[in-house]
Amino acid sequence: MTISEFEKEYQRLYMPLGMYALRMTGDVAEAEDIVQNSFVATWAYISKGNEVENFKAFIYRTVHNTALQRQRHIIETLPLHAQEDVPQEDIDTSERDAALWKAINSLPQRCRDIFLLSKRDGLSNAAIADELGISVKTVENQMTKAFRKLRDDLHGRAGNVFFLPFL
Amino acid sequence: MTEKEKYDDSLDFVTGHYRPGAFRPLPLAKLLHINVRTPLFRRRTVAAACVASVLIACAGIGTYIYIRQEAPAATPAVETTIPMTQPVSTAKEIKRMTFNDTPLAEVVKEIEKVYDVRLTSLPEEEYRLTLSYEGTAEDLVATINELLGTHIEIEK
Repeated sequence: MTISEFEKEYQRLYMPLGMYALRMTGDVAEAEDIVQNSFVATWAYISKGNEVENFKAFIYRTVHNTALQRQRHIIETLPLHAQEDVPQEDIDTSERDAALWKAINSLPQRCRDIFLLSKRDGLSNAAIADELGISVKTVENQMTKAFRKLRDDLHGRAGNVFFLPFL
Repeated sequence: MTEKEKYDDSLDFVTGHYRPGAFRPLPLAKLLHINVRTPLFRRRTVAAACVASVLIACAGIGTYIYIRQEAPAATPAVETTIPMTQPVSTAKEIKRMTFNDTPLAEVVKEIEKVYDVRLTSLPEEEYRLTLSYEGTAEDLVATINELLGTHIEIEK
């Protein structure tokens, strides 16, 4: 694998791997650290002339094992990439999480703020309107816009009916 | 889990942990502490090299032109040396001429004699010229015009 190919995979898989590590650790900074270290370790492995048949499976295993090491304070370990493959379902989940994270990133600033106040902080539309000094109608419109954007970015995975703002 | 349940689970998870700016990958070269020559890096390097080459070439040509023509003087004079060359040649023939504080009227006469040309649009002002030159009549007249700010022409 050339460095250019490695860089392509790095750009493509960084966020899904981040989501996978986040699910294991629950901490954003820790998850990022694990992913970065995993890529560094993987490049070190490859640059020594070792072959990697399935890069995606390899790097997911590495992230998994690195996260486990940290959780269990394991000092002596098998090679990071050893053990069984991460289940495909978990990889799918991480990719879905990454797509949603990117979709939230791409929301306009105010729309994102309103969305997070509602979904993350659990505020009612009235409370959000009061906090931001805007009308409830504006909050509802922004929430509709957010849900539609997230749906569109995920190619309509869960259908229109689940994106009503009053849910 | 149904697709909707999976989606809701992801949405809850992501919104619960979301932080702006998180999970943006560092440049790979910085992460690995290496010099990564990606296609974009190569294109930029080639582009920068082309621009630098053009600038160096332009600077070289500009310097050559400047040295060749010498710095223009406030008064119509440029340093010279050599005696006159043998007469009778065409405007395009390369000849060497030298003037040392020579009145322009005399310069004109010499040029006409040496290159077998006729000069027109002579200025009324009395200039004096100090110049050592090797080239065609056309180039010489052009140089004199640049030095003195005149508009002398070779009659066709």
